[in-house]
Amino acid sequence: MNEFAGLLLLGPNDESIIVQTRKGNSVKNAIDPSPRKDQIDKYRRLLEKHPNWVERVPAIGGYNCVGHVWASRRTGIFEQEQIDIVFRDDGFRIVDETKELIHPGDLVAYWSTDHQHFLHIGLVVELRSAVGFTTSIPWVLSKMDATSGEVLHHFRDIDFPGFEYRFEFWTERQKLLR
Amino acid sequence: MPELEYFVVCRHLSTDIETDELTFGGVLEDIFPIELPMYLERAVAISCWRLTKDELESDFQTILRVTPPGANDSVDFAMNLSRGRTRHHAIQSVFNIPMEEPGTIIFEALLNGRHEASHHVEVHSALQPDESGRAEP
Amino acid sequence: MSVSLLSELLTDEFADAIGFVLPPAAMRIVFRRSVAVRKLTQAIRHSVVTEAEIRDFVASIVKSFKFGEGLTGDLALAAIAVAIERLPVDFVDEYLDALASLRLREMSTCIRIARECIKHRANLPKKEFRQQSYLRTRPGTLQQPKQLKIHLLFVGTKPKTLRSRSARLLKTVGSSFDKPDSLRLPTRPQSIRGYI
Repeated sequence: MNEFAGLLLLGPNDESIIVQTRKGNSVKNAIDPSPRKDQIDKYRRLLEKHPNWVERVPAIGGYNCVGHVWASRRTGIFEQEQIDIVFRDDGFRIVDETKELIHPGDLVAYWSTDHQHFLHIGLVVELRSAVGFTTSIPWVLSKMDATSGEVLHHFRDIDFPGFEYRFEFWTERQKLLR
Repeated sequence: MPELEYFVVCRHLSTDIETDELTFGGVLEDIFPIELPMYLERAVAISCWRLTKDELESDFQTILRVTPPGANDSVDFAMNLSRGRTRHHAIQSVFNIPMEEPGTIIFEALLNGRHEASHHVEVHSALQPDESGRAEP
Repeated sequence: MSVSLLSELLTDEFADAIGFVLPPAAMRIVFRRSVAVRKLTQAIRHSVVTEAEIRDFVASIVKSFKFGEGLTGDLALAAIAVAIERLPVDFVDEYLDALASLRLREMSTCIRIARECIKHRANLPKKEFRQQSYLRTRPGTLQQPKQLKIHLLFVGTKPKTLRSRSARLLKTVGSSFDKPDSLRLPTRPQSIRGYI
C-alpha cells in the first residue's frame, strides 16, 4: 500500500532483548517508546475512574504487564503464544484456593471468560485483611499497558471494556503452603 | 492437497453486503430449450476449497472444465488460488456455452490438473410446438 | 459524515472507550466490539466511507510520523485494520500486509493488530470471481452472440429454403453462424432464432 511505502523505506527499528524461559526457549519481546502526551492524559483519565488505585510509577514506556512480572521491567511481551510458553516452561501452576492460600509473589492472570484471550497479569504484593472476612484479600501491582504507569489495586478492581473476565492465581511454588 | 468441500453450478449468484454470505440462484440441472442450437447465456460455477495451514504458501490452480453436449473437446477456465487463505471460493461465470444438440453439459472441477468433482446438466430436446403453435415438451 | 467516522478514531473519547491497550489478540476483540469500529465497518460496506477516504486518512496519519516518538493515530490505524478485516476486497489484504510488514516501534500497536487480523483473515473464505466467455476461447464454434437478438420467423416454407434464407439474412445483417449446417432445423417449417 503506497501510503505506507515511505515507512517501509525507513527500515526496521523495533527493539528487543534476549529473554528466555527457564527451559531456554526464547521469548519474543519488544520495547515500545515512551508514552506521548495524549497517552499520558488518557492514563490519567482512566486512573481517575479507579479512585482506589495507588500509583507506584507514573506513565512510562518500555514494558507492559507481562514484561513487568517476567522480564524485570526491561521489555514488553505481547503475544499470547509467548505468554503460554512462559507459563509452561517456568513451571507455573494454578493455585487451588480451596487447598492453599495466595501468597505475595504469586501472580494473578486475567482471561476472557471463555479463556480464549489473555487480558492482563499482575503481581500479588500484599494481602489485606478485610472487615468481615476471614481470608485476606490480594492486592496486586500491575502495569495496565505499555504506556501506562504501575498501580497497586484490589485484584478485582479492574475492568476490560468489551470483556467479561475471569482470573486465576498462578505460582511457581512447588509445595502447597497453608 | 486442498480438499474440495462442494462444487455446484447455477444460473446466478449474489453476495450479502452485510455478511458476505453467498446465495446461489437456479442450480442448473435440466435445461428445456425452446429450440436448438442455442446458448446457455450464463452459468456460474462455484468450487469451495479448504486448505490446511501447511498449504497456505503453496500454489494451487483450479480449473473449471466445460464440455458442451456433442462437443468433441472441452474448454478449460483456469484460476489460481490466492495464497494465505485456508478457504477459497472460486467463482467462475461462463457466458454463452453453446448447446447445439440435446445431451449433457459437463462441468468439472480440477485441482492442479486432477479431477475432483463434476456437475452434469441435462440439455433436453427442443420443445416442439403443436398445431396451434404452442410449445410442448 | 464519512470523514467524521474516521476522525472519531483519533479522539480522546475513542481512546478512553477502548481502555488500556491489551495484548493484540484481546485488543482486536476490543476494537471489534467498539461502537465506533462497528459503525465504520458498516459505513465501508455501504460505501459511505470509501477506499479513497481511508487512504487519505491513513496518509494524513503517516505524515505525522516522527522517529522515536509514538505515532499519533497508532490506535486509529489499528482500528481501521479491525474494521476492514472481514471485507472481501483486495484493498484489505494490501492494507494489512503493508502494515504487518513494518517493524517500527513508533506504531507497534497497529502493526501487532494488523498481524493478528491477518491470522483471522486467513480463516475467512477468499471469494475470487472470474467472468469468461466460452466462445471467446473457442473461435471454431458458434459465433459469439451480441446484445441484439433477431427472431427469424419463416412459416410455411420448405426446410431447405428456410435454411438458405436464414443463412442469407444473417449474412446480410453482418453476422452468420460459422457452421450454418449446425442449425438443426425442424422437419417442418417453424421459427429459427439467430443472434447478431
